[in-house]
Amino acid sequence: MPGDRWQQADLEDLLGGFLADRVRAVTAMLVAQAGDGASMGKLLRRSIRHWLIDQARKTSEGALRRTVEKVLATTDAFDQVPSGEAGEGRWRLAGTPVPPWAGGTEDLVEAARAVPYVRIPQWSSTSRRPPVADRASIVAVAHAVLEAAAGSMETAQLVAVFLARFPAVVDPPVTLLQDHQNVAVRAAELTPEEQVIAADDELAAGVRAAEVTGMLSPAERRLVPHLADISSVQEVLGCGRSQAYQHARRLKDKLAQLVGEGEDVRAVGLEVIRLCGGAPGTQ
Amino acid sequence: MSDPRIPQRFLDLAEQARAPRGLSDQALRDRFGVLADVEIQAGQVWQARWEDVSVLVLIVAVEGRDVLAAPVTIDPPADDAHSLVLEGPSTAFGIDTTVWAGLTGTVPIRVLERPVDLCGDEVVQWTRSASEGRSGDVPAGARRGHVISSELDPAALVRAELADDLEALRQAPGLPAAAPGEQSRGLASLLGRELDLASLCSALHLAQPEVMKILRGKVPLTAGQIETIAQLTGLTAERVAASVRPLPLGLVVRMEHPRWRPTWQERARTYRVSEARARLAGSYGTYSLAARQTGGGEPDWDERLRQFLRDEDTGPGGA
Repeated sequence: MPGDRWQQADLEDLLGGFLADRVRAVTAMLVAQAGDGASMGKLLRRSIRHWLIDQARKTSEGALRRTVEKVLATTDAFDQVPSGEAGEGRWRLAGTPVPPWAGGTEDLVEAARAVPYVRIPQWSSTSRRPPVADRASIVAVAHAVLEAAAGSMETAQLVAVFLARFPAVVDPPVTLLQDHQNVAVRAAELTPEEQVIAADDELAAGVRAAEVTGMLSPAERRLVPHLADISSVQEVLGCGRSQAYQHARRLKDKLAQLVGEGEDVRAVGLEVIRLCGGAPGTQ
Repeated sequence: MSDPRIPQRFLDLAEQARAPRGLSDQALRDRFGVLADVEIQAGQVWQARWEDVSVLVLIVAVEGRDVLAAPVTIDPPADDAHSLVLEGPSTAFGIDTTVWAGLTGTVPIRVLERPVDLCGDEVVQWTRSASEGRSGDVPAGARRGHVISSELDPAALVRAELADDLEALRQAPGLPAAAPGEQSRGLASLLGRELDLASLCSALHLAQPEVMKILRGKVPLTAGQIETIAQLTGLTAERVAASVRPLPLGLVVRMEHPRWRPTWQERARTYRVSEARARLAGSYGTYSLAARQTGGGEPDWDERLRQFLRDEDTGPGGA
């Protein structure tokens, strides 16, 4: 929620939610762990921060569930197990008489990750939440997962696999660039005919990079130029070395997921770094 | 009477926020006795704190001035594949508690503040095994933690914060301890060309032969002398103290025991210095007092400190 739209009631609701959820655990933690006022304040702020992150992730998980359900329900390749059969209401590959799936999700996540050329669609300026992937990619991933499962799956089970495959989709906070048109894209000289194609590729990479950059929060954009230097990350974030490493790895994972796959990955990545104020050659 | 500005629903929620019975003063006394008598042992869960960094740690072993310990968290709820989650009823906290065996490492005894819980041998053994990369049977009343599948998992951030907190605790300043066969550099070599003998004699109100002994590192310094030399030379008190003569290991071990932390913290408040400075001054004061007394063998350092504190209460001096 943007800062200028906060009201006292919003803050009270948020505090009420935090207390209702965590009051017992936080009280036990503070009584056991806090040694004085300074350490108590630090511990309490940390608990609240992690709780807020969890809340944001839950909201995004709900949106992901709705997206997956909608795609499954409107694609002929999938259907639901009819009533009266084992696994009634679960999702399966259309027309396959399979038993209900059970077990660990590791193999299914691997199958989801093995799906090539997953694309994240162009960013919508009216939405605050990043889309998980385009419809064709969601269909391909769901198909691969159900095939690997060789069984019917609950929506929640499928969503758990999607969350493991697309962790950035529930990663708060996400902030948009206000105006993509203001992002400069380098023009190429149109000399030989081949360079027209190169220029088109560069333009596509630039536009894609602008979209990816728009999915990063302001803090993440400040961090991108420093990813290769942990000391700089520490300085930017004002945190310890382990946290700096974790934030850097996390942002690299997120960028890898947002940039996606394809021949222009490197060009997009370098352009993202440039748009975030860095010198691509240093990364 | 409650503050009328606080909504009633918050007061109702606060009513639920009672401290776990297992952490009441009486329960802690029943479990551990008085802090002064507590012996640090494997299986104890301690609050470890230095400045604003505070972590719970499960002690796996005691190793000289350090303990081998795994961090323990109650909130936020998080774990990883190398951790053990203890169910609430099996802890003093009454809440599911994570033992991060994968982060097991040394923690200096000087940052231990107070014991808060006890874990069974099977939890200690599991933690030790997991920290060495071996897996054992999960103890009753516990479960293994979940795999962190991505760096974007919030548990990865909790783990990184813990690692930084542990590192901060390890950096807490300790007392300068004499190592076997180690020679101190001596204040004379530390000062080099900056040495001004006349100024030192004047500032310390000592004759030249006495100051020469100090410069050669032959005699311990009082807390006041350390402070005076530090002010005169611009060196830190820790460097002055260590350069003259490190403290005997036996004394250091006693002074860094948690039983004396309330004393150092009280003196830090009284003299408006850091806890580390208060402990350093008190330890050198104790050492100086012991050096003036006769008797063979290792002194009873706790008793010497009590005597030093009594003398300070009845005479001039300070931290």
